[in-house]
Amino acid sequence: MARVAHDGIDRRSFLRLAALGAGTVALSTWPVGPAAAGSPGPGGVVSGLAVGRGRSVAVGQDAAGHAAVWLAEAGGPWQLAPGPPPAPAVLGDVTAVRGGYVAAGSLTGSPATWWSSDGSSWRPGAVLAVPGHLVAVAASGTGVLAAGAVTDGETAEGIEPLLVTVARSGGAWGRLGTSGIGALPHGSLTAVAHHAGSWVVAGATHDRSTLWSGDDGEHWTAHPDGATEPIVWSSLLGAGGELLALGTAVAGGAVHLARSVDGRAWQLAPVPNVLAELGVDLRAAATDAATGVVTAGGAGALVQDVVG
Amino acid sequence: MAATEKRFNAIDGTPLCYWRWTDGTAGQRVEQRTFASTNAFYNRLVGWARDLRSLSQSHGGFRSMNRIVTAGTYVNKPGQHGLGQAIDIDQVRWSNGAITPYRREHGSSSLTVRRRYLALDAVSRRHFRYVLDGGFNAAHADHLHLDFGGGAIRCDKGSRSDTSFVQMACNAGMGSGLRVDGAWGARTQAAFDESRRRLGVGGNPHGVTRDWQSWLGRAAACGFAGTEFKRPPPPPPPAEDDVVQDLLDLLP
Repeated sequence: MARVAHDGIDRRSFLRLAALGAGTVALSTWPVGPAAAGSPGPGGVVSGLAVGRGRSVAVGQDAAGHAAVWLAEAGGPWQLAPGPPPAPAVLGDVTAVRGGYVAAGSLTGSPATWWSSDGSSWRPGAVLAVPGHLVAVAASGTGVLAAGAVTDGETAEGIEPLLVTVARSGGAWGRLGTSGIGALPHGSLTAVAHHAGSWVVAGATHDRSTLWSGDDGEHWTAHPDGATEPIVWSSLLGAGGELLALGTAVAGGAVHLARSVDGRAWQLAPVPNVLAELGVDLRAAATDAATGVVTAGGAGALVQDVVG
Repeated sequence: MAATEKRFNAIDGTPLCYWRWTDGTAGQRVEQRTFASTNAFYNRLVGWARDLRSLSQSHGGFRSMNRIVTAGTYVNKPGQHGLGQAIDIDQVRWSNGAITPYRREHGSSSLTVRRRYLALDAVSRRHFRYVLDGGFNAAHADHLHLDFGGGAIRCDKGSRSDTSFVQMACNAGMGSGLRVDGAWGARTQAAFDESRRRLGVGGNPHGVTRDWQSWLGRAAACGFAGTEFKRPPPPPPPAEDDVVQDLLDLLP
């Protein structure tokens, strides 16, 4: 805890970020490798996290490049889920919903979703008939929103933003308008959250990164993130009544942190050293406001801590 | 093979820089940064840089490559960038010239500038199966995207990326007047056949890597030399300072 006491952020966020910091301390001592059965290990990548009801679910890919899901009870060891979506599924993110979890990603180059009641075994949801991918998914009290990009059809490069509503069962959806977001050449929407009664999404291209807010999920207002270079905001975290954006710079991968009370006015904040040390390998983070469990993940590791 | 296992701020000794700031200084303020990729991808970049140095110097007189500006290598997003197997090139600069895709040089009114852009494009395709450029789509109008995807290096008639490049190259090298639409039709085929005759490239560029690399190398040589397509042009005459140095070397 003392390692982040100098970072200057207010007490409300401090508790959550201190926990993230403690988690990153654990990163350096986590026995990555064969002894850490169930953790991603070298070559494995966590791309999305969800926490809820004391259970954490991480999605990504294993060292062989296959879709993988890891599960952990609060404070417990990670276990590899026995029934992840089969190849060629690519998992981008996961969120907890009433009665289970919804994962979003892509299947043979098209946006796709999956559903699980417990995170252990997954069944296919829907596949959208356009080239593209989903990399973020979040739930509100009334709906589920997934975000990503439509791709150019020949490569995985994004050409325009993609937003879809997803049924809680993961099995049906509708594509939403992106009025106010504009084109995202060579980019993608990268994160989504529901905060203070509105949806918030983040996105990045070669030349800019932006956060948008919208009440109906279809009409969006842009808000500058305050950064002087494009940042891939990969996670939007609810923490102590604030919304935190956590991501890495396109150029070099330095970790950046921005804070907002209302999801509209954003301010860059100092990054705790222990979090900054994750650097380019930071891919995803999630909080469970009810239990205080904070989980962070990325290339080769998964860490978890509980707010004291 | 982790996506970020290799960290580097230079490619084979040439500084790797960034300039896409959002504070109004994009394209002007240049800062050397550390980027990440897989080891295999970095090693491929080294081969690319050495080939680029050699061809650009031998045929275009470019000397002392001193800066590569990138828009990103590993980036936390889907696709080859997320796998640490892609790079976006904004500029390659030598002591006596530069090729700057960031300035949308594929559409330059100067034929010499377009030919040099396509020479850089061609050298990149000798090492990377997928190169996306300004002829491919608007998203790549301001950089060259090089990645590991797509399998073996060859000229794929079914690839919009390969086809639009061939169309641009034939237009710049032979005045073919092709529409750059990424569709390989009869006119593109005829122009490509003519380019092979002029460049002296046989074999099967559509199926054999070395035959396609040969076409690309000779097209790049013409592009760096600023000439139309013909058998590989001889190296340019030495620059004035080289002549002076040669004379000085003759002094006792």
